[in-house]
Amino acid sequence: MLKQYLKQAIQIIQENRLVSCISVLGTAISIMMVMIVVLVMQIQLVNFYPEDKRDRMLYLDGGGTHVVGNNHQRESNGNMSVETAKACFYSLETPETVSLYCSEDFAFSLPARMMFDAYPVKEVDSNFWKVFSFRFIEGNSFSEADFDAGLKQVVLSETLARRFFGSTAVVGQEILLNRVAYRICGVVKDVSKAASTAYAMAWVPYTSIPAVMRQEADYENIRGLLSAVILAKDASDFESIREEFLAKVNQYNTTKRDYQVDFNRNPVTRWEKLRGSSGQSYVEWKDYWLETGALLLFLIIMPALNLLGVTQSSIQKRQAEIGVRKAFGATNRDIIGQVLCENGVTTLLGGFVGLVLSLVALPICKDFLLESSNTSLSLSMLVRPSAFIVALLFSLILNLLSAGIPAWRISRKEIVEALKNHEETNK
Amino acid sequence: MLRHIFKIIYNQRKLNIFIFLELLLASCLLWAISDSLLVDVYTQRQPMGVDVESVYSFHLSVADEAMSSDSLNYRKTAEDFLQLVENVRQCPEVEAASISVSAVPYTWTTSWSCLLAADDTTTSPDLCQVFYVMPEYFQVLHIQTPEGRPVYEEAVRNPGEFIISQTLAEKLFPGVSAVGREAKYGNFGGDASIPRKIISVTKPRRRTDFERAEPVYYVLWRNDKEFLDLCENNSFLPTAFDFLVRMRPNFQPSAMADFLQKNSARLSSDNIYVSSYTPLNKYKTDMLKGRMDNQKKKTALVVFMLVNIFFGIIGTFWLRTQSRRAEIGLRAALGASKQSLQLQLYLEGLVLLALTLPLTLIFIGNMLLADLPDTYRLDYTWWRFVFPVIGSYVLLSAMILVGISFPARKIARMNPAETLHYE
Repeated sequence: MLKQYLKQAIQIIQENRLVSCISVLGTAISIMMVMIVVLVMQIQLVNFYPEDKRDRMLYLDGGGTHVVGNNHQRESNGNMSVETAKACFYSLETPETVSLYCSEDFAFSLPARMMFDAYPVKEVDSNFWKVFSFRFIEGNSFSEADFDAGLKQVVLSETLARRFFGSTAVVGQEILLNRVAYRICGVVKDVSKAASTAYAMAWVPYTSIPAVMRQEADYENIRGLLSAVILAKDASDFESIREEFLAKVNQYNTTKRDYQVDFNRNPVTRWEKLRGSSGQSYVEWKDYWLETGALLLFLIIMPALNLLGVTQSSIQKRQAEIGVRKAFGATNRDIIGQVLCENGVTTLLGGFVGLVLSLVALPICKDFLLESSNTSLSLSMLVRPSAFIVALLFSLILNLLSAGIPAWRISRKEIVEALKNHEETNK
Repeated sequence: MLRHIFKIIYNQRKLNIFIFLELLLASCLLWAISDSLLVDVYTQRQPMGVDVESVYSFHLSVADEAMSSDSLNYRKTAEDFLQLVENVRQCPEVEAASISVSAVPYTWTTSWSCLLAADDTTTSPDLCQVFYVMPEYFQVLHIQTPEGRPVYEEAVRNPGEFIISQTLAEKLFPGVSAVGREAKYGNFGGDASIPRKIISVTKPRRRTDFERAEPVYYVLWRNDKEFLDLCENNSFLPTAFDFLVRMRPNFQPSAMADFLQKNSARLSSDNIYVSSYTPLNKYKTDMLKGRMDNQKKKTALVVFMLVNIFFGIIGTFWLRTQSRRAEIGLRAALGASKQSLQLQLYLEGLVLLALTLPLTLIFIGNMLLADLPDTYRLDYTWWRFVFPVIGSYVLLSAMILVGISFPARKIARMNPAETLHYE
């Protein structure tokens, strides 16, 4: 049966090449647009180097630390001090690891030659290397003891090492960060900007930066420069981590006289980040889907209307044939099934072309589709089974939308009428 | 003729309804997108009030030893800072250099405060952006008075503390000149009891290319002593300040790295030094990225819609000419020329589009009633109504004509005898 439908579908495609071409292309473009939207979401969600445990992570991004004066004379959104980090984050016991970090641009130079171009640097703790899975080309990360001692050591990205030394075999060499000498302890494979928490071109212990360690008396030592990322043992621990975290925050606040810290709704999960939430401006699922859903719906409806016109007229041409089939005992369900199957061949073909097109178009248009320009993309971000399933799903929806109504209509037609009305009636 | 076409369209309503709905959806969305793009482009073309071309932000660092020590002398580091700025001004490539706070264009670091006319006791003031600057700041960013004179000269010539933007001047002193009048801080920002003099008024200043000019004002440090006192009293490090440098017009951005290297000795003063730099153009690109991306995404959607319309029209009309071969053959046999047959097809498409117009207008009316179009940046005047509507319909018509031209060409090749053969 299915074989028969397939044969017929291929026959129909060949019969009217222009219209078939248009149907396939229309579907392909629609699925391409849908898949681009989906892939952009996917990049924010899935695990890849070096953020390959994203499903177990909780985030407190920059600006998520909220400090309020007890009499509400002052409040501020910013980051936290080392003291606050120790009290509220390092003390957590439920998670596997907690890492604190901050970002800053530094000018890198060689001892012999002063340079002024700035590169993004992450100032991190030793747990950072456990939370993220960096691949070391040379050397190693700095140890916990080095971190505690505040040794001036730096891990370079491959690109930066090559830019300054022409090779990656640079462990033990010296490089200046803002005119301060650091010893290179390791070189890692480059990180894509899409992995925004791990991303930098060099990583140093934050204990080596006086500005990070400095306690500001203002805001009772709460305000500082650090952000946090938590790695849970399992995603199901998120709730218990949040509970323990809130308890720690409350406990810490009892030690303060004039100010209270809260972290708004932080830390947030990857899914919450995807929909644009940070703790300080929380986006509900409803609002996110209202916007994204409307866009996806539009991308599907537009071509569906197109294809409807085409399927409608091509089915009408075959009224007589369908009349005959019904006269020989085909049920309404058979007819609907046949039309959907035949149309399905076109949509699946279009869907496949669309998926391929989206994988080609996204890297080309990434500069305006992704949040930061010059984001490098890898296959592990794009080519995923989930992407295939989503593309298939949307193709089927499109098929149902574009052939459903004509199939239903034609199947309900009386046999006599269908047989009588020959080709020219298009009413 | 038209009536006849209406009749044909009506008789084929079951087929036409889908393409009609598609055209309706497209015309409404196309209007919405072109309206928002129009507002964006209009706003983008307004003057900014500052000129960031060839201006660089120099980033300062304080030596680690000084940072780590408990007895950091804030007055001393501030003096070093002033010395450093003076060193930079001496470079022949440099046109001007200035110190300021929260005043770098296209960055997120901002200060907000209130300003009131000195004799005003009734108004509750709105927050507006405030820039704390040295007079050279106006030189660096080429800020002008509404008449086009450099504000810097007025700031140097006249004593006083405040310089306000035209937008704020019109709010505080409607209908009269603000220059020479006195103003005071609102509920916070500084001591409200001391009125201070307004030296000059600047052209309206906008925060980004996509925003309307909002009221802003500048507080001037009249001399080095004021600046040093500020640093000492508030424990401010030089890193808390902006250090903006304007290079001479013939200076190439690519020469910046060499310039800094050549002058690296001048770029430090005891415990503080210039560590890196950022061209303000980079801040601009970064800050506008979201809005520019949004424009590109909207354009992509428009292209998507147009391609769909093209496909929809070509498909529907192709099949239509096929199933109406007999009718077309008959018309040809009865003396209709090929041109008139083609014209009829084109007209059918355009009339179909025209039928969406009343519904689109109702849609626009509803959007306006719901106050959804952005009327804050651009008032809703007749031309703002006319251009997007005409633009959308012209684009759609073009797509329809191109789409129909394929089946129309087929008609031209038709042989009446052969088509009648189907009858």
